[in-house]
Amino acid sequence: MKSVIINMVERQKDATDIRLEALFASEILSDDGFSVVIEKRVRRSMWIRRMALPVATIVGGAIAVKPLAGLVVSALNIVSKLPTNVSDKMNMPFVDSLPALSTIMIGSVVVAGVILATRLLEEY
Amino acid sequence: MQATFDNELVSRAVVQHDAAAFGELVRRHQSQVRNFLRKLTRDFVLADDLAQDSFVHAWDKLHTFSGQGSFIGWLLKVAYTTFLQSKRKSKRYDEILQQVGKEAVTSESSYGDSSDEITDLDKFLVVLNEEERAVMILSYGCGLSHREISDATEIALGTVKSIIFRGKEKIRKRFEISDHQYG
Repeated sequence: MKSVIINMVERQKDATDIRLEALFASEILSDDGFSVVIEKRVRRSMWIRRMALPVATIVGGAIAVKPLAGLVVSALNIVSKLPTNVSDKMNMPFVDSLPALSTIMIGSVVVAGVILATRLLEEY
Repeated sequence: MQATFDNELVSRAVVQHDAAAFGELVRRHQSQVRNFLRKLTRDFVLADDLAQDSFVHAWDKLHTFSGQGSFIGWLLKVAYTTFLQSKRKSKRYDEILQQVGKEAVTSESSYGDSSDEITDLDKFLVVLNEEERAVMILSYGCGLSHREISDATEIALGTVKSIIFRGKEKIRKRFEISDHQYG
């Protein structure tokens, strides 16, 4: 229970107070679609926020996909050019089990899709 | 009762991101916020633009409303901050106020003519500096307590009281309001 302290000094009004209150008084303004405009702006800002991360992820992914693919291909080339005996000596059995580029790409898309879907579900 | 319903709507808007609940809050308080800004800027179009921005800012900051004071007090604080930020960015407000000041000074209509209340208010507001104007409007136009004005304007409570006293004195002297007029 919240207690309300009433300051009686504030409540004592003189002639100037009464005159000022009358002057500053204003009529109630009708809404006339004002709240609808605000609601639209709020919904738009919510929608923009909701879409910002997924869109940034897609755009960033689209920009990064080519250099990333190049990097993966180069890495695979380097690894494949290593002599077999060297890889044996260096104990790198994972070289043979590296997934193909297409598999990596599909996997990335699936992961991104799952993250996106989860985020959208959270919002709703 | 009204405060409880306001708090319920705020909770719904914050927790459930319920834009409709916020829309209801806007409907309930738009008149007071717009009237406050209209008096502060003396320009209806500018005031309504600022009111829109204020409500959008309020939506963004709604989670910071603690529910301790009244929601309208908090909302008017957001509106006043929006007004100050806009004023820093634009010279439009100063131009309007200068224009209103010139008109109020050149208008020689006698004080006390109740048919011309808006002109009287303009004359009153021109006498006050910006800080006094905001405090007086919040006090006499919006009916906030001194404590709420202090919270809204971030001016110390004692200073708020002295601003109101000073503002009243200025108006009383300038327009020769005597206590027995309405006593």
